[in-house]
Amino acid sequence: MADDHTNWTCAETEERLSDFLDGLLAPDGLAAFERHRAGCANCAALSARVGATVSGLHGIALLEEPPELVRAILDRTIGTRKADRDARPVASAKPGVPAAQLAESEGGWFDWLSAIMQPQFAYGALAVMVSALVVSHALGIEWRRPTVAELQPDSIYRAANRQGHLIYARGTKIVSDSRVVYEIQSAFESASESVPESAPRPKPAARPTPGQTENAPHVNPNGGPRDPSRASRPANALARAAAETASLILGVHSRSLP
Amino acid sequence: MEPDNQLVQQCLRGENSAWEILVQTHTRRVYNMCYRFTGDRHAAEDLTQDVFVKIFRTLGSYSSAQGAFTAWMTSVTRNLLIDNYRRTKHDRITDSIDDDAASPVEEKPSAGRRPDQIAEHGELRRHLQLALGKMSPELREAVILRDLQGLDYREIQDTLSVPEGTVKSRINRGRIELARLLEQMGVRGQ
Repeated sequence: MADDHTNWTCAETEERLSDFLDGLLAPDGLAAFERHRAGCANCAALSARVGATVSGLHGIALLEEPPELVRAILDRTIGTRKADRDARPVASAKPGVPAAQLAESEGGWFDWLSAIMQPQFAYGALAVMVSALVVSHALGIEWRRPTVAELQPDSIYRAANRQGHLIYARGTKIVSDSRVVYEIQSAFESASESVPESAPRPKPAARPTPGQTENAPHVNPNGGPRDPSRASRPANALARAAAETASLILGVHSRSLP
Repeated sequence: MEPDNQLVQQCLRGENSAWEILVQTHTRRVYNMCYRFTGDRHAAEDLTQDVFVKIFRTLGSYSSAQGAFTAWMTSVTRNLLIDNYRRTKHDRITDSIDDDAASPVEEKPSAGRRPDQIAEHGELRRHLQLALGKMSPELREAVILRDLQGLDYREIQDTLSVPEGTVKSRINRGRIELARLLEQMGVRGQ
């Protein structure tokens, strides 16, 4: 062992440097170390340099951790907590057990409230309320003046039955009215098509040219045909369409609901 | 029973207050170890959280027969730091290229002073961090555990799971290497 040697080498001295600095050398080893250091400038410098470094390390105080670090650790381990006023864990977890497992088994009395406070639940509740309002309106329940009789099953059935028949009757009437309007429109179209628009229009009255005799064929100065029966054809068609329309309207009124 | 072991037992019984005390007691120690090893405050903060999350999940596996809670906690911290060191190896190589260009400017003000003298001004902390970053992880962790965390040889042996001779050797070589690096930075011994 190096401790038994009276004179240590540089390697032996360097090897025991930390023991010397930590005060772990036995008395004879300490004496050997000191003897070598006194005679070796390199080992003396090394010893001083390392000694100063270790002293510097020991003089360094521990850094202060960021103030929010402890809070962040607790949040990640035993769960997000309420404000400091009660400092009670909301989703408590037990060390050594997965947090999710504990969240299921150790919920607090009011933990179910957190599920209700979710936006999805609010949207769902609103949709259910609107649906209930529409259905109740269809069932004839007047929420402004609700009566107990309205909420009885037979009243609800009767109101639903009445509403169903009303809806069916209204639908039938709309279809029937639409058919009448279509028929009127078709009658007007057929009447306008019967007018002979393709007939050649008479030429406007030509001004008498110089040298024209009075025996020249007569031309209506308004540009109209000379045959009065031709002029009355569109008017007759329109009159027929009006008569048909009137009869159809009368038919609609006669079919209207009481 | 040691106070830490008592708190651990309370934690395992589901007492959150005991866990809070454990966290408040040991956060600074873990945070400093992480910071000295990484040299980055944000990384140290994240790693400290990770350490406590791991301790929280594996607390049931701790037994006082294995040794002191502090040694077990230090061992968990050390394993996580080594994992992080391996994971971020590529980033560190890239960063060191940038640091080499910037470091000479920072080293000038403290030239010619002893480490224990500049420690008073807080400059050694910065130089020390640079020097630690240049050491191998084995020597670095040995120096951190011994001289910054104040663990004795037995605790370091338990933490690193290596023989006592290896612990002593690493601490000795780590100190000499650190002194050499500080001297290169202009921090003289005497």
